[in-house]
Amino acid sequence: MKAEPKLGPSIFSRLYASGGAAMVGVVGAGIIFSQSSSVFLSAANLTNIGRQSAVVALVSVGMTLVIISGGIDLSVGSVVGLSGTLGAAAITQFHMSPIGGALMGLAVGTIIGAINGTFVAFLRVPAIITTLATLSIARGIALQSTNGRPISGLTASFAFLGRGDILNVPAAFVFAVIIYIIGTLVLGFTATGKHVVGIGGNEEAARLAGLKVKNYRLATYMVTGLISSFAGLVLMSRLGSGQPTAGAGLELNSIAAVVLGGTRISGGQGTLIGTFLGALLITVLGNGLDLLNIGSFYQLVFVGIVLLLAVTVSKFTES
Amino acid sequence: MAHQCKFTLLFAAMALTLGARAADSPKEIKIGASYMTLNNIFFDPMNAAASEAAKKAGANYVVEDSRLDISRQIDGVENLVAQKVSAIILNPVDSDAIVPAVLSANKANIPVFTIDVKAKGGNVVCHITSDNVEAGHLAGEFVAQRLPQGAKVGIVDGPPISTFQQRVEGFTNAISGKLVVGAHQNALQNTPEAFTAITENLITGNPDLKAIFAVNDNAAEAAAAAIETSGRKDVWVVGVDGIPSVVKTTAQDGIIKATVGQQPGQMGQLAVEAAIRYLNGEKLPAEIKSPLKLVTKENAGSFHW
Repeated sequence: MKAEPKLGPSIFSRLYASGGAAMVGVVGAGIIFSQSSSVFLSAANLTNIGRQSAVVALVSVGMTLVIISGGIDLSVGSVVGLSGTLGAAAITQFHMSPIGGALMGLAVGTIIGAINGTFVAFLRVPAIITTLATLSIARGIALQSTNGRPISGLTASFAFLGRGDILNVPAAFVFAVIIYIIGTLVLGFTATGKHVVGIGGNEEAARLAGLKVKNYRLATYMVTGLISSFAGLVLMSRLGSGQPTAGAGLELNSIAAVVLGGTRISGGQGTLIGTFLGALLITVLGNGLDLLNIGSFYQLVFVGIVLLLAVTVSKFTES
Repeated sequence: MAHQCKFTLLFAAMALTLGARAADSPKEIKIGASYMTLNNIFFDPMNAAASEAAKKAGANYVVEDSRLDISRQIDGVENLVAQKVSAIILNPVDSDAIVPAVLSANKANIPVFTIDVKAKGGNVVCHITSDNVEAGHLAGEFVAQRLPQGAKVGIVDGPPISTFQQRVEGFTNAISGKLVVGAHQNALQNTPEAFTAITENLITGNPDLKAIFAVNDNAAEAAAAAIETSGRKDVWVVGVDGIPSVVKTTAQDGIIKATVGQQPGQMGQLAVEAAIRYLNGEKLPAEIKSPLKLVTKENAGSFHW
């Protein structure tokens, strides 16, 4: 810790980078919505927000890791869909135990992450192309293997993850918070975490310093795949079925959450707390505008404006 | 299945070469059908009923499965044209992309009948469909009968496609003057995850809603799940389509109280009958509507696609 933090822009810049803008957004939206809707702060609605934010929040953990380290992963939404359908198929069609089905789903996500990482780190294919390809491949496999139809017939034993509660808090939200805490500790307080950020800031310098950059990259994509497939299991449990189309478009929402949270899109700077607030902001906007019966077409416009505002503010606070 | 198809084709080709003379006899009617997919609980009964209707009329029936692939479907229709079938029953994978296939049938003077999905060009004798406005209307009447005057209902809508818009239009017309639409929200995607979140917010933001109209049965199932998770006991759901899992919950008097069932079997039968009537010189309307059926607890046991 520096004894005297620089004054002026750098304070704003740091605040922004640790999710200050998203925090302002969440609090601001919270105040506006609680004034205009009597149910916004009700227990039932806060539960809704918890359930609705869990999946995008989980996926955004991995997205933060790859973006901070200078990459991007567009395949996360497809991984959510594929791990959910394969997990559901393992349980209902191959009669595996719920744990076995879950492990299948997690394995699939990790494998796709490994494929992403191998192409990006070792074969030097640009991340945006590699993960665009695996976005297509994973979705294709999910659709083909199910003939485009949902896999239903999951027993109640799988309902806990997406629909259950832990002390009246949605279980999925609790798991997301735990993963955020672990991620924040790793990213901020371990050498490994600092290396990941360092690689995003200056890959060449990291290599010259003797870091095994390729291995780090591979690892970030594998972790992203793993967490995304966990999100897929949460969503599968929430929907009570394996939906081959589940998670479509999640890559865009999670990138938005990461950017709203103050992570620099080109890497080298960012926090998971910021991303968490970013994911919360996106969910709260959708939830609150729904409560006010504002149409979802308007909502798209609204979310876009908020995103633009946040990024513009970041431009002014940097420098 | 694929083998069967190939054999049918082979026999058809043989029949074509051997039967050049037989074609002179007026009785030889051969109906060719092409579906977007047969590996589907909706289209399977459609094909079965069409085949049955052809058999009843003493006509031959050949079928092409497009497996959701428009280029495969165009090839399939061209094969039917090459076989000189008497009429083609077409359930397009895509309204626009199918037009060239319709045109090649037109060129060969083979009448075309579409089922469920329209072709946006070429000459189609007659389109066999379920009326989506009527489907919404039936759902609306059901809800209006069960709720007191002035009660509030919510609409869980989908992405802006004509099917959903027409269903909502029919529903709104049926309840106007009796019930109030308290909330109406569009899911941006036709997926359970989108429908679930919307329903959660809709019933939380509008605790006075008594019933939900869902634009299809997927939406109805997602809405029912959201209501169940919320613990609310005073809201119920009406859907449209008649998919088997929804028909089952309806029979058990679950959260979904009714669905408006389409009848794919009847659509297939109507299409073949229309083709045969046309070939016999009858004039047909541009559109034939397959009847819909309101499925409730009382009749769910006997309803199937």
